[in-house]
Amino acid sequence: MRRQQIILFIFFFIIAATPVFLHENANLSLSRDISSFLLFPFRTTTAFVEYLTISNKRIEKLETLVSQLKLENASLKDQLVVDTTQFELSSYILLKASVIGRDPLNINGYLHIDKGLNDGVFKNQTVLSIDGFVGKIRHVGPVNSIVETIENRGFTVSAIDINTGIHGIIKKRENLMFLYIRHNDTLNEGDSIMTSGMSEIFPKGILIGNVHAIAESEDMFFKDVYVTPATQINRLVSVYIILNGRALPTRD
Amino acid sequence: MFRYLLYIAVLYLSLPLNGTVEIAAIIVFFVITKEDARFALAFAFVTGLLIDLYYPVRLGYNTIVYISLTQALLYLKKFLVLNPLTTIATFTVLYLVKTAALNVLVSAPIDSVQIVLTVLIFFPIMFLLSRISFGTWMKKQ
Repeated sequence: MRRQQIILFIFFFIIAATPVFLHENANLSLSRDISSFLLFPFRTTTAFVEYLTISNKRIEKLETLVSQLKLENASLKDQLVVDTTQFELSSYILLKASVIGRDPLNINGYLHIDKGLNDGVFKNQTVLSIDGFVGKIRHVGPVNSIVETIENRGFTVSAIDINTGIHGIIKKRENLMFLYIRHNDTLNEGDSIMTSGMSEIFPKGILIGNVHAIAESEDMFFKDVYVTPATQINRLVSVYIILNGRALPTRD
Repeated sequence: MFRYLLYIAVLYLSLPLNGTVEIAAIIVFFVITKEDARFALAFAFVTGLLIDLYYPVRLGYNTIVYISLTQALLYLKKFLVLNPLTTIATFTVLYLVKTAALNVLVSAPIDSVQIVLTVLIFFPIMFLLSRISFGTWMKKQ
């Protein structure tokens, strides 16, 4: 037993001592060969952990990319609305007018502006702001005019949902409504509503507002679609009049 | 057989931690004191070799130191009465000799924190190994 132990010790000692006396390169090569076999579990685990780490980094990168693309997409959607409005407007002559007064009985329903007949303003000309649709010229004086806005009860304009292409009528009731939308028509909250151009007065492509609520009504055919106007009438200080639109030059 | 596989498994698992706490040295000590001398020599050889490969400086030095100290302890074991005090004293001395020998041979740095941690963790590891291998927290000699 004791002898066996001594022999075993000498055997192991010689094996352990041999690499020490080898040349450095041979020692390194031997070390590499043995480790590829003996440290196989560590290599596998390390490779797996590395793979997971790289995968995590790739996932993080992709998430960042997705976020960037989402932002870009949102920005492009906004741009699309602006572009559509600007595209339509590029062929029109605009006249800038300042808001000089409001009707005290209907403060958002009518605006008094400082441009009139002398500036080429006619009845029914379309009025808009940098945010979108405002209304139309209702009365024209020589040097000033009155604009009937989209906030005036009963005001109507033909409109289209730009996302779905569904046509309807925008009308001011208690709220601004997108009318004649059937129960089976699919509209989404946030959809942009624009003038459809199916009108003798208003050109198409002017942003009116966005759908903010859709409700099932008791009406047999149509549902209630509520719209938030793009322009805040009570904050307007200046507007633009389309001089060469569809409205024919008529006196008030 | 199960015990031998357990020692090798624990050795493999503890190898990445060996840079901080030398659990491998504790396992070798446990094997020397509790197991057959021939297996203890073989296990010390494998441990030294694995440390040489995992923390490569120059292949062979750790192996030589481990089997030499194992042989020394196997020789001394007959003259020692292993109670807790002599056990930890023997381990500490052999561990310090091992550290000093490697410092001389391959200029391995002497890390005092590593030495203290290894000595502190000695008994918990011994108890745990004893519990798993023999079903008791401390096997009587």
